[in-house]
Amino acid sequence: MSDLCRPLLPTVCRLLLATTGLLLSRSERSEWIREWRAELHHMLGRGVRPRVCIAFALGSVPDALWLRRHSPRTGHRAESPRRCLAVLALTAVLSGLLALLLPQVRQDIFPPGYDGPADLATISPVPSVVGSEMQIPAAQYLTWNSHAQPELSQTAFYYPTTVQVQTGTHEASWYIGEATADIASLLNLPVSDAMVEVCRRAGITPIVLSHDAWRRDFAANSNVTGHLVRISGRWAMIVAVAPAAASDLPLRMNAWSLETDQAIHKLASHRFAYGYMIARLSPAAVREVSQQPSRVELTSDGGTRTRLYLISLSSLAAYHRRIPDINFLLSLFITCLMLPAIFAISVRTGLRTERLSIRMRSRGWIFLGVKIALLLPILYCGPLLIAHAFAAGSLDSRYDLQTFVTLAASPLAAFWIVDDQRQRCPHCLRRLTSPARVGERSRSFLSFSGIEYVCAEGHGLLHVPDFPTSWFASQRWLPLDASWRILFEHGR
Amino acid sequence: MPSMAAEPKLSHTAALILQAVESGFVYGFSIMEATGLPSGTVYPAMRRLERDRLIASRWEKQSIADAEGRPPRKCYKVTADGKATLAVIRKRYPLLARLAPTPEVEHR
Repeated sequence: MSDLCRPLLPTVCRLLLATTGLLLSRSERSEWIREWRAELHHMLGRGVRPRVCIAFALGSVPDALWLRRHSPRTGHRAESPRRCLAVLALTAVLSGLLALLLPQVRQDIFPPGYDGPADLATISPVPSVVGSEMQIPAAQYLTWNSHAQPELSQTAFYYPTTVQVQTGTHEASWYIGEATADIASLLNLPVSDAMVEVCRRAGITPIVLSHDAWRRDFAANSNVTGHLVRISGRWAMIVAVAPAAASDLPLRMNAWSLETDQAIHKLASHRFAYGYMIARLSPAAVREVSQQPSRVELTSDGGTRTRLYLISLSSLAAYHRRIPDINFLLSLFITCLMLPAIFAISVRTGLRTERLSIRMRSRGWIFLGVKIALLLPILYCGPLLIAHAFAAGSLDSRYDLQTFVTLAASPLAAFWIVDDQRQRCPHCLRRLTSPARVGERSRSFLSFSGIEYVCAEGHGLLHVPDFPTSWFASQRWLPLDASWRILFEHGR
Repeated sequence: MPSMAAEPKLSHTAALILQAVESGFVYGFSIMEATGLPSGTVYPAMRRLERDRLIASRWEKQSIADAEGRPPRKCYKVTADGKATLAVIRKRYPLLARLAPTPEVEHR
């Protein structure tokens, strides 16, 4: 430290001591700071080097931490409602900040808007955006495709399969859509017919890679076209990369294999070959599909007309982008359904014999509400962060892990909220952790077998039975009047 | 509190600090200088010794501090338990006795 900084040295050191002193309770702090300042004054008077002075002042941190750890009031503070809310608020802010700082997590929280084509849609028998419900039989697609459909300018079909794909040394499980060859032109992909023909003659399957798979498994390599991959032991060649918007097609395929007409007809002969029909809409239908979901009538053999739904790609994209939110809300809903069970698990069903004032009851409810409000961002951001940390590669795995963690954490959080609230003094909202009496299990079941907690402020006693009996089924709050307070003065 | 003289459980650092206080280094900074230990080690160790009643602390008189134009300092001294413990602990750490006894003037 230069001589220019020397005049600032006492201020810096005192500021350091004052800040460290905040670790201690108010009653301990003044004497502690007095002692450290006196020694610091002595050091400064002897002209000790500034670095030594700073090191001396920094030594106050372990001292304050030791005192804090061994202070008899530390446990008392830990039970306070303020501390409980402060810890929750700090965790909520930290998890929220971390989630916002990580670009991938931030994208899940604030997904970008849809900027794909407006005239692409999926033909679905039901007005749903959930992938499995939108499937139609392959044979039915072929029938509709063989007739002119005025509202559709172009159609394609793909049958989803799960396969093992080897890309170099890396092996992964992919969703591949066995698609009609016109999917390439429907997605406006520059796929050369000659290239597809060469692949087929060589017994190699031409595939169109999804944008997500291209970025994840091929590091967004711009020269990926022509690469060979092994799909379930067969060679396949990447002939194009689909635009990002195509990633929102049903089931979010990793790739589409361009099958021959014969292969699609053979597929259609199977009774359970259900897949997805996608279409490019005529200009008139585009206007209608903007009001979701719109109806469309498709003509099949014999002039039969079937009413179906047009689900635009923008609707599917909106659904896919909201999956983390849907998972979160679903977990909260399931937790709400479990609340009666959560209440039943604890025998501490509050039976209070005293009438509390509206102000006290309001404080209790506000405390409960703030606890819930602070836990919600933790339950939202925490599982997202865990999912991104352990399943960053696969979108489906990430969503599955997020759902699992949220589903596991939400009931635990609900249990903690209920349990914590019931074990607090209704007057000062401090958590009752000091047992005044611990009962033993009686052979005749006649003696008290629970725990009796006492409020450190002397507001009352909480009798919690170890097991519910007909005469003592739930916890009981026994208020102590003001004459008892003198016994608790020293604890304040 | 059980007698510390019977089974003293002191680290070498704590024993060194106890010896320093016994030798007459009664202020926190003086103990740091005598032992060569940093403040982050000395103060927590002194808190532990005080909790175990091996040393006792008190504030020097305000009038003395005023006369010297400085704030009053907290000084420490070894208790009877501390002296008994030190007698036992010196056998375990014989080099403790080499700590030069250059006592400070204790203001009372």
